[in-house]
Amino acid sequence: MGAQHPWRICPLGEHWRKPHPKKGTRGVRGHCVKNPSKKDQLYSDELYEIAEKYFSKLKGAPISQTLGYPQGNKFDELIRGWCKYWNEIFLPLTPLDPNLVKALIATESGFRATVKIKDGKGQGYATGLMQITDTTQKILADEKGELKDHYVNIDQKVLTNPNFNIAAGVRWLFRKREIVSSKLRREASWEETILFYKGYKDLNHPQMKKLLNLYQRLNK
Amino acid sequence: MSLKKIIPIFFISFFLVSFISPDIHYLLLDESDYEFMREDNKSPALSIPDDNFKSYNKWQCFDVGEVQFLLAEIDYNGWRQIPSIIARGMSFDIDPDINWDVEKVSTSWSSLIDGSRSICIFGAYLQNDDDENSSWYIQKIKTQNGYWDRIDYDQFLKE
Repeated sequence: MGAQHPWRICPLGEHWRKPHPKKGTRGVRGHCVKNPSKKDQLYSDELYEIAEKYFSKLKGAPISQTLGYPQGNKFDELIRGWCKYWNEIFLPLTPLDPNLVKALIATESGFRATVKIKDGKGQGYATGLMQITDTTQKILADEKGELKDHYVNIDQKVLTNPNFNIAAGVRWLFRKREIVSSKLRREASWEETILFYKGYKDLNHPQMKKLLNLYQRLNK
Repeated sequence: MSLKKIIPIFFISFFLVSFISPDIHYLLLDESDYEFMREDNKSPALSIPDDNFKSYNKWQCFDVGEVQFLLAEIDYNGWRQIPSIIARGMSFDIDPDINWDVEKVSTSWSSLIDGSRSICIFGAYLQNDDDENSSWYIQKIKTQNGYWDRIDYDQFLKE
């Protein structure tokens, strides 16, 4: 087990529970809680605290460019912050480029945070900026499921929150990359990962071409 | 000593011990429960890094008649109710991070105490609410009917 990320409030294997009112008491003070599995769990309280405290100070990609979408620049700070966070957690040889995530959001939701579409597999809905499916939301929190560590435990109802959606979506990209890398028996590129994330078979799919075109525009 | 004498002595002693000592309820716990606590206590259940506060889970056992099941009202991303157990001024709550199906949890707890004489709660202290009452968080419950474990939370989620 490595060191805890400096942005985290609690020691490794614990999560933050914010102070909150409780009827008949003076209120419950904020505290860290051990995760039963002792693995790393991020809950919405801490996602909120991290973004509030650290993200406005960050600089770098994604580029400020709307790509023709009215809300194209609105989520840059969150994209920048969560890419940095998860890159520092997983330390990939090639870090995930926030510009690529921005291009992905453009093609997934057109930067519409509340968009909710029936999941293509008929297993519920895909929600928000990164179109997180109900199944993905469950896997991300499930300590007995396919993830080995670094869970994101957020309620399905709050997936329309841009902060929670991007935090979960970027974490899911790292999981997808693990799966593709294992299939390819080499480290998958982030483009190959996105292809898998979107469920397309090859890079020539019109939606993939569109995404790569937007990505190129951001990298110019 | 004849069997005729031993049997009444045994029953009288058992009656006296159970009447006098609340410790009788701790007989519900076996070695595996204490071993579980030893393992769990390798790290604190609750902590506040800035205050250097650390709290560890421990077993506390009660007569079922001493405990009260109720719903605590908390404002955790909106006002809602969470199942809670009150015993001797201690309020044992389940964690509010999870979107519990209150009815499923309450039903499960009710069937757990049904016909049971003792209840043991594995939980950690957080704070004093006033001079007589304190707040705790539940990790596990044991009665003569079995266990309830927070780790199985996925069975008690709201649909």
